[in-house]
Amino acid sequence: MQVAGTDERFVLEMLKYFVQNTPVVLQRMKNYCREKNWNDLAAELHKFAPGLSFLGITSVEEKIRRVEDCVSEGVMHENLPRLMEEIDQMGTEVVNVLKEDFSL
Amino acid sequence: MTEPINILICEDDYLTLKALEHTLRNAGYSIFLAKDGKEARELLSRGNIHVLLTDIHVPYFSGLELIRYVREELDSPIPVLVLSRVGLEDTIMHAFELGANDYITKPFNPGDLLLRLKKMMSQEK
Repeated sequence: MQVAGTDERFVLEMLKYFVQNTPVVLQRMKNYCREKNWNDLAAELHKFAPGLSFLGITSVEEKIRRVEDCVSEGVMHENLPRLMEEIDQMGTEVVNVLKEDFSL
Repeated sequence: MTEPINILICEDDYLTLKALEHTLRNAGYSIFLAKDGKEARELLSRGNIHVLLTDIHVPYFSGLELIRYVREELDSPIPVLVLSRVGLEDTIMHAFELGANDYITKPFNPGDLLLRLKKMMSQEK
């Protein structure tokens, strides 16, 4: 995380926030997807992606961009549930790894 | 002793907000935080903000509306730096038309951000 430099306390603060907040965000996104609420889903994704980038979690970000493309192009969202499921799984996995590695 | 440079950051994503605050405080700037456009307008109206750094998508008043507020209602020449994700070129163009001075994409590079700020402030003098 380039922004943090060598400030460990700051890194931990950011990771802690991510670990606490991500499950809530993932649940909200799943709800929006189930309700076919594409506008709120897009807004949530828009906010979620930069945080992932800051933490260097680019694998999830790529999937988020694909979902955003689907939503913004207004094409049928037949792939959305699968993509959202993958985002959920990857996000949950990242949170679990961070929790374990940093004892959060 | 030189007066501190007050930068207002308007950003609703907590991680981005904290990352910006961390970078700019460490560089010696005095930081004011707003998590939405309403808070940002209130802080801007006090007249002691020297630079506005705003995301485009923030609640209540968007970054674009904030730029319009600064340029038209406050009639202020303060430098405005827009934060945006990649792929919003049309919106960034609109921000320039409204009076933004520069933009930076998220996730930002701290060195790049500081250079752009310095450049904007030197151009203002």
